Amino acid sequence: MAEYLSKAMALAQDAAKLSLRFSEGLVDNALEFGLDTPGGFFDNAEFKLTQVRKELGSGTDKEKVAGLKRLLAAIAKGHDASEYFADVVKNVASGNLEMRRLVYMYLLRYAEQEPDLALLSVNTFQRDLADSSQVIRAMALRVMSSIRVPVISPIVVMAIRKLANDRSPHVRKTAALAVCKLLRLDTSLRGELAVVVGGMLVENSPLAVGSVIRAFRAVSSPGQYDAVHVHFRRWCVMLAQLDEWGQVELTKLLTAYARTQFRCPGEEGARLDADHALLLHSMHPLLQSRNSAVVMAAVSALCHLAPASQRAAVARPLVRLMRSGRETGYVVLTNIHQIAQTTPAPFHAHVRSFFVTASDPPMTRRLKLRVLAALVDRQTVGILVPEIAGYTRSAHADTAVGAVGVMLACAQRLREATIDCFQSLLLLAARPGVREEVANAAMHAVRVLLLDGSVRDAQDRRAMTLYDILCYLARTLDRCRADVARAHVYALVAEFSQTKFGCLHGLDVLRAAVRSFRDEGPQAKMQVLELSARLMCLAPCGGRAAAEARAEAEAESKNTAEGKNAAESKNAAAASGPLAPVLAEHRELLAGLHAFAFTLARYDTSFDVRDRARTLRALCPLAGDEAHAEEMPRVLEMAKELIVSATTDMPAAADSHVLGAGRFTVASLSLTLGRPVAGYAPLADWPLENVRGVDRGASVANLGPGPGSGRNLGSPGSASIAGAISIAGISGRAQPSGGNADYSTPRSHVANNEEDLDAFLDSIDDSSSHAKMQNFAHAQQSLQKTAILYHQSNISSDSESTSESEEESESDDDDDDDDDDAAPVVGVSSAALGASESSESRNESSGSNDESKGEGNSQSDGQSDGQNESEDDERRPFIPAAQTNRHSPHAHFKNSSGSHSDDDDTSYPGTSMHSRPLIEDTSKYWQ
Amino acid sequence: MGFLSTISAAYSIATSENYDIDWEKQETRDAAKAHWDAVRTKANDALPLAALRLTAEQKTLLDELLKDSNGLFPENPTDHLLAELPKAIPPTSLNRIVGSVIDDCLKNHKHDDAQAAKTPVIQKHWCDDVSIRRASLVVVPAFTKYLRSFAAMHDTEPVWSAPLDTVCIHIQRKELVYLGIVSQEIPPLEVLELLEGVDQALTEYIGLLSEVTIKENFITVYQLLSEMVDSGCAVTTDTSVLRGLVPVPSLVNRVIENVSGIGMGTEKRPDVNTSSTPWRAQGIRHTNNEFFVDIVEKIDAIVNSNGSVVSYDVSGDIGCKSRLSGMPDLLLALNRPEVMDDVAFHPCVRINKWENEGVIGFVPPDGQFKLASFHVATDASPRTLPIYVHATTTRQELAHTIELSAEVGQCGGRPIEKVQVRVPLPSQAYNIRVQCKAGTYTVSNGRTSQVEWSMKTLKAGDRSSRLVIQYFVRQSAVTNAAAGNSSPQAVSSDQDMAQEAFVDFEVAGYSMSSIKVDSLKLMRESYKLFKGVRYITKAGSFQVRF
Repeated sequence: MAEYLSKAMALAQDAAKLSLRFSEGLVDNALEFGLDTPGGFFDNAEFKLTQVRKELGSGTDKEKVAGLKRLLAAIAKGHDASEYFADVVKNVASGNLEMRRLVYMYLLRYAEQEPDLALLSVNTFQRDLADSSQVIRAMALRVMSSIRVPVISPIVVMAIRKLANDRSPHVRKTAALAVCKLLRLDTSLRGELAVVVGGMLVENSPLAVGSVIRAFRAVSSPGQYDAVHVHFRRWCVMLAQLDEWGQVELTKLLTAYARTQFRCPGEEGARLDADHALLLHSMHPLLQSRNSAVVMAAVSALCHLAPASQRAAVARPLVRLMRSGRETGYVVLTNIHQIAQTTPAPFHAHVRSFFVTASDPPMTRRLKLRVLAALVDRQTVGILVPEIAGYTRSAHADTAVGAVGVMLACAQRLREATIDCFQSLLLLAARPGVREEVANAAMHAVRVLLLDGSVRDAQDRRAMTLYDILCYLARTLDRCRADVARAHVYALVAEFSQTKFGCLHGLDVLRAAVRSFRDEGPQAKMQVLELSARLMCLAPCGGRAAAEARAEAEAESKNTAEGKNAAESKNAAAASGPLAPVLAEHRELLAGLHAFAFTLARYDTSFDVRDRARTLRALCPLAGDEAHAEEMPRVLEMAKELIVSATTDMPAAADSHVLGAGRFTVASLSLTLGRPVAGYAPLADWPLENVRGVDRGASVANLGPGPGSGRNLGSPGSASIAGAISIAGISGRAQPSGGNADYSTPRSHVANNEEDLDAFLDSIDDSSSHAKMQNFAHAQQSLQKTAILYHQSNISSDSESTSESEEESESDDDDDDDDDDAAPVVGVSSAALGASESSESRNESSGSNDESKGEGNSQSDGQSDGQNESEDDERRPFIPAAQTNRHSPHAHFKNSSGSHSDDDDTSYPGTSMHSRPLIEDTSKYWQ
Repeated sequence: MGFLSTISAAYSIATSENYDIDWEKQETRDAAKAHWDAVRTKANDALPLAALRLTAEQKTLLDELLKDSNGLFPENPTDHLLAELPKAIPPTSLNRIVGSVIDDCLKNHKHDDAQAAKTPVIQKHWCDDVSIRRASLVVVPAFTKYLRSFAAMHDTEPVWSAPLDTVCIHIQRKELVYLGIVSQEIPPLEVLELLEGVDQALTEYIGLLSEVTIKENFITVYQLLSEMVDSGCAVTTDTSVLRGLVPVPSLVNRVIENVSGIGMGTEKRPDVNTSSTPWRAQGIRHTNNEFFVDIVEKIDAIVNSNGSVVSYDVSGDIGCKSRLSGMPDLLLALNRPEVMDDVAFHPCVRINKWENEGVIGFVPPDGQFKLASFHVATDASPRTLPIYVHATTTRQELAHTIELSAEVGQCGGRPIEKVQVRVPLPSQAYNIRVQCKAGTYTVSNGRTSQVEWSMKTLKAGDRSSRLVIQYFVRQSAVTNAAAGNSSPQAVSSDQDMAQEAFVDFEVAGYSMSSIKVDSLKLMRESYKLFKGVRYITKAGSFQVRF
């Protein structure tokens, strides 16, 4: 009694002190009261470590606990406390549960460093494995399996085997998790553990199934799903019942399993296998989970397993998740972005949810705009365009630039919106007060639209000729100060130098540009140099040539008016286009400007400008350099053609991005990062036929309350189980009927306008391939230039042998062991690259579903290009897919002002947006 | 965390759920910068004197500043420095030299300062020893550096590729940053969800989370973490399950611990609820049986300058607070379940029942929980908003004026509370003047200025609620250049104008979607139940464009 009284007194005193401490709210003060609060342990951990040994060795539990807390605090702060291992381990058998927990925490951290001492503790754990409390049994196994000492693994295997059949689901769960840990420590146990896990698969308790599945995925090798068959239907039915993390695990397993069992649902007229339908049906409740990981796993399953009609269900939950917070929203947006690129239809109804608000963080803004660009469509364009137009005035530069990207997407995808968008872009690029970045992006979009033919194709209804557009652009040079935007204008003038505008005003633009050369930015300077070089190349040398050229041009214009052999006329035009007469008259002036610009550039501060000037000067010599020209006219001619036909450097797309460049399993980390992460394994291909003759319902009969589960009262899925079991029961091969029939939608119901996800994923999507091709074009172009430069230098020494070697190397790309140096090899390799690229994209666009899927898989290993895949393909000059649709070289720009009838031939000679024709031309030349 | 070094093939099949969790205090960058700017000004002022003579105070200051410069000046750095300088150097260049030295010191110093502030409060690892070292010595410092490279925490990317082929996934809640480091493929949402769960569990166990409270309860934190995550795999995040495993720390617990010398030995042994309702333990008793429902709706809207609604969305949460004895089974019926077009439920809800009958049937967990969150089909809601904020902007040369007025829209005749209108001004704004007839306003000058206007209540028919903001804009060199030669006078640039206002408000007792609770029935228990329902409509992201 007295003892109790004294304790009560102490309690009262301590309480008083504590309340004081709380009122002051200061941890430090607590120390003065002699009260070691945990915070005190934490702050003083390293200073009092010296006491620890004494405390651990003391007789009372209280001091030992204090010492342990000090140690743990030190560990939590990242200090090394391993030297106390021996002192700690001797307390492992303590009867005090709190102390034991502390000891366990310490053990887990340092057992690996002290395997011998750690062994001392194993006996205690083994004893605990038979404890009456499920918590203690589980804890013992967990700690034992977490000790990363290989010597004890046989003991742990025995323990797992014993507890795998424990009556408590909590313990069974721990046993399953222990399998994963043990396997990580010692892979040689795989076979032994697989047997144990195989026995655990009958698990029926919702609490433990998730961990068992995890263990199963750990022990089974990928693609080995034979053990799943019998449990499949039972698991589908159980799915809604499991705890959240179990649902995630099971969904992942079932998704991977289904991809090896069922036929691709996208095929025409295919009816879903009943089991396949059951699986999809059981995914739907998960979409309503509060746990975002569960929802995302279900979304992933539906995206990769369901026919297009059922995939629409993912849009709503994804939009909900997107709103749920900054971090989740970001990850969800990366997924929406990928899904929307292939199946945008479900998201059209939610397009307003992707409107950018000023409070969005930058990454969210960026992604939302990309999603908007993917959602551009006939239905949405009316909502999108006015909204996007507002973004161009945003205070955030990235929003404005992204908005330009969306406008570009609108213009490219919807013919009826092309002209509107194009005009807005034109106005935007030259708007007073516009940001430099926005002007750059807008001008880039203008250039893309002019070059890829979208504007020309949409031109029919409006009277805005190429001439007018270029005149407008040239005038913007007076106002626009953005370097890259100006560069784009100069590039456009150069690219259209053989049209009416180029004939009449190209020289004027150049004159103005040379005058302001000093004030231009480096990008613009380089484009001015290219413009100058191109005009020089186009201008014939003398008066006689001019007259000839005029006659030729007239002849051609007749030819092309008929719309025939335009390709040839293009080549001819390259040599002496309609520009020739005009330039010929001002040849002197042009030469002067050219020389002046190149002289300025030679002493420019920018390395790039000097470099570009040097390159171009070598290709297109100045007056003083012309000694060369007579020595090697052929090379010069080639160089001329190169300059004339090549598009100048197109800076990377305004909205260039990594995301969506590859395609990854929905919900994966790789997708979010846009690169394959270690351990990423793509889903398997669909088999050609449903796997038949396996019994997927064998274990359904066993379904019932698990050994440890109590009342089935109020379980969320209990009502659904009954219904679903009946489905599973009748669904042998029969058509499910009644209210449940909706989950097995026949393929014929699938709307045709929604493309199949996988089929679509496999073909290159427009935007990413676009960026890829562009980059590739750059690389190629520069390679080509280098090659030719090398040629030139070689030829100057010995022109004949070089040209021979060129021909040889052209005929056989392996034949690079000539006496020649590396130069031809470079040229050839770039040609080979072009060929392989072309054949790859042919494959991807035309290949059947399965073929291209295989390619997709291999792509994920080695970052896309897959150049070696088509080594053996015959090499052909490349015609980009995008171009063959929209932009045939035969087409002509409609010229509405008929005054210059002889200049009517305003074709687009060699002005594709990619430099592919460059390869074509030069290879022809070499032959 | 699993690093590549020790991960076997078997491990990679197991999908690599491995996390590290670090707690980091969010750096108050602006404060630190201001502090150092002040110090630097002081130092610079002192420098011309440095060549001649230094006061004791200045000398200490300099000493302190120079001390950390990579051991360049071992002792008495100022003396050392002055001795090193040739006497012939004129004071001005001396100033420059010392100035640059001090600049460097400041940079270093600032760096160290921030470093110290960003050391993780607690780390827990689930990987082998080598990886632990790598994580705490390389990845975590790299991550802190990454965080520091952003002006606002808001702007960081939650999934970031860190060195050593790891990926840092973090969330920020209040002033804490939770970081998970993974080295292998794992759905990022799993990590985010786990971190979120950790935050929720800690909040429930510890209450107000801060660096101090986490340190005070670090044993609990450690225990929770080891229950929530096993060898890098999320096991459970449900707090009602966790409560069975880890005792909730309380004042009484601590006192008992102190008295008896040991903790928890006197408590009931932890146990796991393995029944089919893991979220509800058996044998819960309350003297008063109460059940409260809060329906909180949030309006996300973008309103254009002409008053038209660009986008509009209503979503809501049904929060519950349950103090019921035994094993009650509740049926919650709503008046218009059909307007909810997307619903996410707590695991206790029977989804089948909802889909077939449109009622929410559930066995509630004890205490507070979120029963459901829903989204309202936009067609079903009126397109009128509870509040209208009109803005007119005018400008004369470089002077801008924004007139704001707030007006009650349709909200069931109830007053609007806690109205707050936030107007971020462009970074070039200066000389900001505000007039306001109702409510109060504050002008904050950070990196960019903003005006905050708040009113406690706004009643229908209130005409006086107006705010006028006037400010001038610095004509920047960029704008001048952009204007070009063609127009010599000032040209408005996109960056010059305030473009939007953010509105925050709350309407108590009003449900935007007009969703109401029809009935709440109790089954399986015979006691009488006290019920309470509240409705609140709030602003989510409510933006008015000018």
